[in-house]
Amino acid sequence: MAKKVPLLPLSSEARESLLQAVGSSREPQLAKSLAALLAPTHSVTEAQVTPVLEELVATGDLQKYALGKGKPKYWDRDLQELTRDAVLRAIKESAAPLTAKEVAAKIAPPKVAAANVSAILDAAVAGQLCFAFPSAKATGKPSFWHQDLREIGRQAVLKAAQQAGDPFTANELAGRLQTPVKLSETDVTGILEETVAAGTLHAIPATTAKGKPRYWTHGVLELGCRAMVATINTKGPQTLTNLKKLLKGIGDAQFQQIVDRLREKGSLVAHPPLGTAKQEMLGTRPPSAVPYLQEVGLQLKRIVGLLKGAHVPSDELRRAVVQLLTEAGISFGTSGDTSHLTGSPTAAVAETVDLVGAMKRIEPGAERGALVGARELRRAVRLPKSEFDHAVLELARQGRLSLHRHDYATSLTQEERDELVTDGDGTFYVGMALRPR
Amino acid sequence: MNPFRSGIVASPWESTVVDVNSIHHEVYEQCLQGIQQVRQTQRSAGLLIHGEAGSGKTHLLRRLRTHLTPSAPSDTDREETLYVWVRLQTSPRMIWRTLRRTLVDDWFRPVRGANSQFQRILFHRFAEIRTAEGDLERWYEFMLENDQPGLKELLDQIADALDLDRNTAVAFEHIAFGRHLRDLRAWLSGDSLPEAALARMDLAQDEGTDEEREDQSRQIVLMLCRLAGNGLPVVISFDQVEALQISPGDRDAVFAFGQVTSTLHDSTSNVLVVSCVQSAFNSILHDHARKSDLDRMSSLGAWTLHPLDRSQSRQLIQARLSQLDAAETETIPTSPGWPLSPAEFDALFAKNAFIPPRKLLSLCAERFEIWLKRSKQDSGDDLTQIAEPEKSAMPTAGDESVTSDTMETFFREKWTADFEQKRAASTPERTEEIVRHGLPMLVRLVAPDVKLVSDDLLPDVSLVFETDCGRTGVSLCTQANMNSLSARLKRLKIQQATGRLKRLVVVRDNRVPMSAGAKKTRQLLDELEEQQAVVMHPTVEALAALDALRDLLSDAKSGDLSWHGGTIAPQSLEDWLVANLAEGLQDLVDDVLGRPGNLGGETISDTRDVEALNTLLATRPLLPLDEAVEVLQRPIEVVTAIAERHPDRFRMLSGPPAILYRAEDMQT
Repeated sequence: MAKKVPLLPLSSEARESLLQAVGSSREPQLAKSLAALLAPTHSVTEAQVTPVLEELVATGDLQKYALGKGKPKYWDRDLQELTRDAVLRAIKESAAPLTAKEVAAKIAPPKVAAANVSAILDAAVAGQLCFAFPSAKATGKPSFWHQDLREIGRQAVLKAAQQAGDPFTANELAGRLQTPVKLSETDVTGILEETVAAGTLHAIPATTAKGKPRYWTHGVLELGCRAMVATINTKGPQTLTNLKKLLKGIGDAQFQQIVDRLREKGSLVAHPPLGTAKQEMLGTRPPSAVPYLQEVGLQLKRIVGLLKGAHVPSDELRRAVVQLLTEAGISFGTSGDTSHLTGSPTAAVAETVDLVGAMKRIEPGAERGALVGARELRRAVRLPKSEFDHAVLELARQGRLSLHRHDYATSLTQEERDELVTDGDGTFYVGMALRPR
Repeated sequence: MNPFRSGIVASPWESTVVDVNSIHHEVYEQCLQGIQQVRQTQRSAGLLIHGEAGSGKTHLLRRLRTHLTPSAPSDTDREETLYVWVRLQTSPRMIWRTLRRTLVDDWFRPVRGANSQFQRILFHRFAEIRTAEGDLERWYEFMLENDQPGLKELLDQIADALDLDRNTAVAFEHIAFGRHLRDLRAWLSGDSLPEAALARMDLAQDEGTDEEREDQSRQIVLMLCRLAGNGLPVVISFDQVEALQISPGDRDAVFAFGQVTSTLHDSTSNVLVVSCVQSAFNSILHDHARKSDLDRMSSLGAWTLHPLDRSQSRQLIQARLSQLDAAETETIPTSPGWPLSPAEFDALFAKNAFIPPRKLLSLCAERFEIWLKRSKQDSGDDLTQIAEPEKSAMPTAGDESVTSDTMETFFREKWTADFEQKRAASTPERTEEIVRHGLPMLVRLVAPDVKLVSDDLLPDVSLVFETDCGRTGVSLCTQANMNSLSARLKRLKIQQATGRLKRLVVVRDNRVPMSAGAKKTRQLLDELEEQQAVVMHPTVEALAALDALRDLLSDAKSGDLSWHGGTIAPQSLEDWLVANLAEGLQDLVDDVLGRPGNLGGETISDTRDVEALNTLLATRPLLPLDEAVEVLQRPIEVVTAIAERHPDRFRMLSGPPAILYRAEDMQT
């Protein structure tokens, strides 16, 4: 039988062992538990170890936690800080907002009471480390999340609104939203009203008396313009009276504004009265020439027949007809009519930059046709090269200015060539002059 | 006949074939208003006209010149205007001399059987002071035949009133009495004249340094403008200003031109200066000319010749077609824009709303040619007979060849035509201008490493070329007046002694021999040779080739060299000229620059003998060899050797008796 070895008293070296025991613990421990954790070679009681633990608390090496009426526990870490970190980590890792109870459940030991978690979360909200969202129910608990659900909702609402081709209600939009948390119609309405107030969206009146308000990225006038164009495209050219009837819910003043706007943009073209009709029609494209010329064509056929019968030579007839048409304003070229170009983007650039004005500033004689160097004009308007070249060529195509070629631009340096205007096909223009109007 | 040929107007003095008044009408009107303004304000003015190549600058000047040509006899109350057209194919240092020569040529030019412009000046001056009424020209003829003292008295009154210098007063008198007109024209042009000719005319001629001669020409031009008077405005139109530039970036040329226009503007009271420049030259003009010169050049504004719009294009085509006779007109299609198809016509305006006239005419000429051949083919005519005259037709100056299939062919034909024309028109009076303007161009082509520099301390050395080995100077000594030549040689001796040149080349012209009595001059030439100067006599062929070269290059620089409607770049022409350098031009450069193998045969005694033989044969064009030996007092073997060594100058018929003559005498 083995001889019984007497236990050693608590020595100073044992203090180190005590600290190691505390450090290896996953949670605060009672003095009794810590005494038991010491090496079996030591015979230590709770009474012996408590003064040593208190001494370590006094030196700051340990933390003492008095939990309720029970005996205090000891640990070498800040339990409050650890709990706070764990709470914040829990809501950050969550895909949706959580209540304090739900957070407490997710925290690893040591277990923390929901009330403590709630206090930590309130402090975090105050410190703007997370956001609190009241419960939809009156008695419900608030939930917490690291993201601002309202901002997410606002962004989602705006994105959906921009993508909407037509006006929408809050409910319709709520159904289209893709958010971590489903937003209610009320939430969406709130966001929409805020956006309308900020001027980002427009409120559109409901279509019926009982209908809900609608919202859109464009205003009522644009809605009216689109509706008018769509109506004409569906039903064909209409008189103003008919259009007014077809576009319900638009006041007289707004109706007139819509018509004016479409005419200015060239989206609405007046069709001269045809046949017995006395009112002009409004279409979205120029009228077909055929029905208008039908009567003239019949007369021409008749007269040509008469002249042929009178042995008028065909060449003479052709010449006379061509002359007649030319005098009537019909050009036989396709490029002569440049009016269709005025709405092009390059034309817009030319108008915006006011090249003509710049020409007049550079060369006082430009108005009467003095030559303005491409280099000088380019430097004056400071447009990117391609943009400048296109704008100048556009004005030339419109016949507003004549371009003057450089016949042997290859003899110039690249730098010198870059100052000229080029059409991209190897032709370089050294200057330009305004054509008399 | 192809009515669309001749897309280039070579000179405003060409008669107008067809003109569409609505084209460039606004600029033309400005010219007329400018004349009126000068007449009314009695202050000179300037108009600057821009246009791209082929836009019709010279065409506009022709319209103006045609308008200014009087259609009725000069009369007291009839407003008239004088006209001068200056094509600036010259050296920037000779602008005034070129202007003087051109002005005198134009004012002596008979126009459609009318009086010359000099005579019109005369009539206007008489009209201001004569008391008699009635027909001015008939009165003048009466005075000339019946009252010459009375006429002389009137001329003296005019000279006094205008404060004319003696020479101008005498010259004016010669014009009035129709005396010595050939020599007078040469004198007024600034040509060097023999003492005998000067004595006959009672005129003096001072030939100073290059700068002094330029200044004299300036004074003569200003004096002649003053002679015309405020009642007779003078339109001086400058064309091909671009040709003044010897090389790209040549600032001197633009500067010199600006100075000339400013002087005319400020120092006269009756001149309208019309400067026509290519649009591409606009920025060069603005960059290199002085602002004040530019302001004077365009004191009445800068104007632009716009390319044609669709309507103008149709009008031009129609006007050209109207030249066809009735029978031809009946055969052609009547669609608008023909000979271009409607689609082709439209395509011209697809990218740009406008087209230069020359381009339009060239395209029409090609289409007309095709139609002509097809229609002949359809009617069964012999195509070779149609095509041959077109192909064999030699292009003339200003006529674009639409039959040249390749640019190479075009260049060759153009060169041949130009060279022949220059050779036929070659005169020693033009030698200086040809060499001074053409030689730097030639040297730039064949020896691009050689630089043209200026040296103010060598006022009688017109051209100075600089190479790594040193400087070579060229002095033009082609004066017919031996006193002037002698003075020039004397100054050259001093300048040569300064050692600023490694090589001095004295250029003489065979056609201007030293007179038999010019011993001093001959001696000075010998002394110069002893100072290592080299005397050279370019042949007429070499001078004609140099003249053709500068003419073509000037046309190219000014956008007046066109092939199939497109403007030929100077670089393309330069490349061709280098690859096809005319005979004699490489030798000319080698002789001037003293490159190995050239001028080796001409010793000092050789030059002296060549000059002596040339002088002798100039007075006796066909001279037996024996007589030449006797006059020159040289052995027969020496004289024979000279003739054999210089076949480009002398020829000899073997005989017997052997006859000597000058090569150029046979050509003329």
